[in-house]
Amino acid sequence: MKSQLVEKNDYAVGVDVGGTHTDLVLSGPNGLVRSKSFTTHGDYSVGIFNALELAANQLGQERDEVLAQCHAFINGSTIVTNAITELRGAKVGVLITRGFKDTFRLASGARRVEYDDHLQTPPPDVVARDCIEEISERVMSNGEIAVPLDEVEVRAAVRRLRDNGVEAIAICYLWSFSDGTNEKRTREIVLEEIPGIFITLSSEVHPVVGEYPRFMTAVFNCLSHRATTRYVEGLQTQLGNAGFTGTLTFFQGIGGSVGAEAVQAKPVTLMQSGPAGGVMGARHAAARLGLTNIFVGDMGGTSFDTAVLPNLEPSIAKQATFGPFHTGINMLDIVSVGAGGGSVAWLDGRGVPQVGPHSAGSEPGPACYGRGGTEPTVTDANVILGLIDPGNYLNGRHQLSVADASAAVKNRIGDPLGWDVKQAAAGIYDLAVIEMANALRVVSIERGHHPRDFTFFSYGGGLGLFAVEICRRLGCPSIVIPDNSSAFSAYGVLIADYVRQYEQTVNWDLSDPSQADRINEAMAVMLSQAKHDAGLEGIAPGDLSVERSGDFRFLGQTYEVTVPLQDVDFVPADAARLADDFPRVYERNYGEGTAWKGSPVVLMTLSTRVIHHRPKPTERQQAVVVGVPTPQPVGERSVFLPSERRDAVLPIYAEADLIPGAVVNGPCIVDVGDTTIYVPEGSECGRDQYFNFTLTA
Amino acid sequence: MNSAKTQGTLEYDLIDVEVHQKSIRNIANEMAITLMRTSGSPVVTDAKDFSTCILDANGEQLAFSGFVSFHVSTALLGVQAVMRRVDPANLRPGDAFACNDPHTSGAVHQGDVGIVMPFFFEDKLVAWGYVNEHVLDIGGSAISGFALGAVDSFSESLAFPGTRIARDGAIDPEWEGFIANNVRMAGTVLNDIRSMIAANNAGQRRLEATLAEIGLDRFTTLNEESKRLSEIGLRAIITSMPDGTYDSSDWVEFDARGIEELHEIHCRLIVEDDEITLQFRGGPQTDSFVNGVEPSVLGQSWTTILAQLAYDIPINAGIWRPVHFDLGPKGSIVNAVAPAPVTMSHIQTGMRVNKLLIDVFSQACSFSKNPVIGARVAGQPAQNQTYFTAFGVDRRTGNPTVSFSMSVGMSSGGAGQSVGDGMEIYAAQAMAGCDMPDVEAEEMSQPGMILWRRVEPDTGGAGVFRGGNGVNTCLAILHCDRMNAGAYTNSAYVPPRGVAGGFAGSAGTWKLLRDTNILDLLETGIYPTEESLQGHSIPGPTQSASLTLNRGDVYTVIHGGGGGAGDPLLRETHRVSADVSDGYVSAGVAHDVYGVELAENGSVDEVGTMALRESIREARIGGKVKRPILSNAPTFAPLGIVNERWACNMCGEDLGASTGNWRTQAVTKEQEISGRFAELKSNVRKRVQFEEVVLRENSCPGCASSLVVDVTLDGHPLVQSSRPGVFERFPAAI
Repeated sequence: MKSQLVEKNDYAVGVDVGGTHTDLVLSGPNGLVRSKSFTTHGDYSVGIFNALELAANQLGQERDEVLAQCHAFINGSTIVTNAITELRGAKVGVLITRGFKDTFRLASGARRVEYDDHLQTPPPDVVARDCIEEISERVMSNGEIAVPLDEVEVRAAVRRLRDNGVEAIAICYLWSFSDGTNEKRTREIVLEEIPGIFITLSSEVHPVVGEYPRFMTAVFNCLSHRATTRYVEGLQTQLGNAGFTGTLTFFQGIGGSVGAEAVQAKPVTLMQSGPAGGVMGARHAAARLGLTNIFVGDMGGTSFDTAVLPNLEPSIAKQATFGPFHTGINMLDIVSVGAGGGSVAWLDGRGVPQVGPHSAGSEPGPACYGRGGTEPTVTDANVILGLIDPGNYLNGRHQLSVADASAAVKNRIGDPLGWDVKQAAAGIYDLAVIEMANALRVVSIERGHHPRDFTFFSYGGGLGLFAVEICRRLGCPSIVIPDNSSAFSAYGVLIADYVRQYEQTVNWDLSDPSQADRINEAMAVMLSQAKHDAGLEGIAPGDLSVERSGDFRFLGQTYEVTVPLQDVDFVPADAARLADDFPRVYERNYGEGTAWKGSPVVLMTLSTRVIHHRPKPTERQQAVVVGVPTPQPVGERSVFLPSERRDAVLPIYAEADLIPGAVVNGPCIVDVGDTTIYVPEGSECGRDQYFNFTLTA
Repeated sequence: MNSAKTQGTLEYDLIDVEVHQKSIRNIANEMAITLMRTSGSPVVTDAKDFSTCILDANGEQLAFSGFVSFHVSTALLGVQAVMRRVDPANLRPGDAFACNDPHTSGAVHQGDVGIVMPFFFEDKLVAWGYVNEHVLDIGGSAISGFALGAVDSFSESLAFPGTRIARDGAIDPEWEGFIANNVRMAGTVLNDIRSMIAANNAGQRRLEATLAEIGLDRFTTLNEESKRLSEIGLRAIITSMPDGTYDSSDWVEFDARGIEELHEIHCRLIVEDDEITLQFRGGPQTDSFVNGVEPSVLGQSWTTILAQLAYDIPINAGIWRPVHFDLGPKGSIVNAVAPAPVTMSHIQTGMRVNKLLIDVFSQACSFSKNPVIGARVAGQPAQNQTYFTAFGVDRRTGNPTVSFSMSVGMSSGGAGQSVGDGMEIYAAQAMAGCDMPDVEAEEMSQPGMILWRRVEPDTGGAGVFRGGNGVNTCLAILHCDRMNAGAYTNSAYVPPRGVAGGFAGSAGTWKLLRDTNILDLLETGIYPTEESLQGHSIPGPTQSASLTLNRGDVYTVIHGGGGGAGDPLLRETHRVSADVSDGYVSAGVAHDVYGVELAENGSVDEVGTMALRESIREARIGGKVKRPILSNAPTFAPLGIVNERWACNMCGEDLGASTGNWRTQAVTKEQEISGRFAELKSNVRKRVQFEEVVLRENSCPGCASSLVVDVTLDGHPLVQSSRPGVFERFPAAI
């Protein structure tokens, strides 16, 4: 709708609203600038505008001047992640098939993967028990409606929900993905009784077999709608008032952005949007470098997030799980472990030090923040080792206290073990490295890859201190710390394409070729919906690229393998071909001899992903010059080398002096202002033509 | 805190040892990942019924991965069996040995197949790999090896005593043909065996890489240090448990042949300084699959030790060192020998072992002054595994079909803990992490429909923290004209007990409704509910190998709940009112058992509640309450010893000399259990042929607090009390 303006306007903004910081990357005619502000939880737009002002000022402009010339404003945020992980949001009512009110309590088996019986507790009630109403209706496993909807019951139940003060209603009927008639009719009745209330049908939000994840998706969609609507509408108004006339889009956990209306109807798509931004940014940067296999790591305050991208294809986690809750939310497959800067070091029952998963969080934060924290954290260890300059942390945003860090490490780890503070700090550093390396190894191996065949993309403010040591543990030879690594999720958000994913369970037993037409019909419905949705955002059908895939399994198995499909309709002969091909595909994933040969093959669920490629911003680039002289250090710092357990005085190099082609040898430190890179002995750090740091392990 | 440093001097940096420990455990994890990626069996992916283990060349454990915790014993005993059988000179890389016989090769039941492979480095045997998976079938008289009809182990299933089935990393074609000829679903079973070999092969490759990096000497030294650290950790926990002798009895059930058998088993825990001894005793072994055998008794002991005490200590040989097992004379129901049938060894005697250990550990922990150990007091989980299996022909396709609903089998309640209520669908203590299939998944794969799946109120035992409720699931057979079926349960007559005055949980039960109107209801579009569904039910035993199900038959499984923790009269009233409005506890039980008076709008009438609770106390002791409760602090430790006298910790009442049994001084009400449970709205099967099961509610004569609720048999002597400070072992086995 604004396409005629795209060429004229020079600016675009990518924002990642995180729990503590709001990161922003602004692209202009001469490249990118980045900024950081504190997230303002009461009204997120305040923090966003603060960051925008800082970025605009770096270009010598006023905030609103930039906004007026801005063609795209893309937003990643933690809002839905917060609503779902903290279970705070709208009061939800549920209408559910009679006999199954307790589905949420049973939670597909809430038993945790822990030995400790004290951790085996019932899952929290996301929906208050008195806001779950059973309805007489039943669709059978073949899709036939055996018991028609009892409309009188629905009406009475909805009135009770209304009297209970629910703000949104999830309609959750068994087998509704195969016939949504009863859910749709229920919506009509709800709207007659409570005009305008937010409603989610399980058959629309996630039309896939398996009621618990489908129902939870509907419930979470309802739970997060209020905060999302407030956020989206607030931002629309504020940006409009400030003179913004471009396109406002929102970045989804699946790695692309969509417009305001789309996210308001399906807020759960915003789940995990920030981390997904980083992954997509890494993918873009890696493609430019001609890399094929990368894995990424992002170290934040509480966690270490990682993903594997073979052939630069991020995989999709199709049924994301949050705590005890299984959902049908599709997101990039990102694994998080409790090893961040704020992760606490402690002694276990054997007297052995451990790091994480408990975190000191942002309040009180690491002991060195001087805000009353007494538990030693990974950041405290870095301060003691000298890896972090306490006077210039995050460009001086925090003044760090070495004394507080030392006291915490000494009291909790050093003294009980009879170690001096530096030895104890080095131990904490080692354990943080091993936690992250083990997570990367498991994530890679679980998906059938080996780290030695991959390049490690390391971003987030703190990971530069660990990246080389992690890769040494993994046998991974090379590391890229990308330009703008401290605001890398915002960068990934900025370069986002329009991406939407559609799914429908079809349950096609491929031994019956006569079903092909039914499957084509299901696909046609999805595609027409996709085109309709894209049209609402001004994207012409011809500008969409379509990717089809199918989730296949052998009859009797519980999990599917996703297989890409050609973008053409099926003919009956395809049934046998797909069934014949599947064992080979399966064995490529799981190893020779593992296919259930002789078992019928089922195409359980069809998926369509549609993509519209958006123009990419201009980024700085400078040819690599051979024979660039080694830069001069700008200072030096005494560091206790963690892997060698010895003191050394290390040279410090300034980022600006490392021009493309320059190389510095470890041990040394590269100071990027909001990021510090530790280059250990035997490693070298260079700069490529896109100003990425490249390190050898 | 017993730090490693204070217990001796380490030759190696503690961090190095820990990094090594994590890297070896990571290898075990990667073996598990390989298994999951290559198996595809729902038993692996959903039920998580598998494990992997790495042991050193001496057969000592280095690392364990998996959440079926009783495999801790099978890994050790399986590798030991192979070491006994195989001439080391004849051992090659890529050899694989099958171990699935409880009598000879360390398995807990024949359906759990262990594959043992030697790991080599530079032509030297350096370690053993062990992978175990519950395969879908192992031949014999019943699917998955649950041979309810068998009278000896020969009629149960195939049994491999540690047989070499592979050379050079691939299964021997001769054995492949033999197995294929003897098991149902041969393709899947062989695939599972190949997956286990693949998992071991992955372990061999990763271990080789580790050894190439650090060398065998350092590998060995770091392993020994790591074992020592785990040993230190468990010894520190045991030291915090008061020395003494703690006893518990329970009964294993079997009624499939029309006789209501109860087999008594007994466990005695002796805590002495930093070591424990677990002595098991029982009557003679029997001719049904309930027998306990060394792997299941040891394995289920580890399940409870890990869940209750040692949950965060890395599993390796070190944790075995302070724990001594004594299974008594061979030929008993806790130490059965061939040819005793044992296919339900882990579920029948084995799950009673969990209950015995929870009881004796809770007794010991209740006397601990260490707050962490003192909090490990818990009731018993229901663990009633009630499975229906049925086979027939699907009338829609003409193909054979199986009804074996995992969700129906596992949905029993967990026990009340000192920190909170138990959970529903806790399943069994050994089954951490298991998932419950969706209704839609089960209806897609089975010939019927699920009419409801709901939490059954009042099945969790009452307490300050109550047991988790069981789940009530109802299935109708719609797509087979006739099915041959079996039904199993393990806890119908003797329910799970509470702790510290908490009440017993409900036992499990199932009902079969025949000649129902369900087809008519569906035909006319009427929702089948408990009210609209009609048919007739025929009473039968709780276990049966020979049921026939017809189209339109409906079966309902109502699982038991866990035992409660602490006197229910001390449960916070807001929790009771929330439970009533949430539908987890009925208003009647809230009134009669918890003593909570609710107003019409569901809010608590606090004044009425105080009066009601007082009157319940009076009824317990048959008169006025003499002493006030001084403190709620000892809620989960109501009994103590002061100046060599037993005392009620709640009020200070004297309960006799500490050399005696405090129960002689308590006010005890004994009732036949099915009668008392009817009042508690709980389920239990009444035993009619022999001594009845009874509930003995022991209350303090001073404050009328519920001290312990015993479950025993009519006419049996007083339940043995805890004996802190006393060491009295059963004589060692002959």
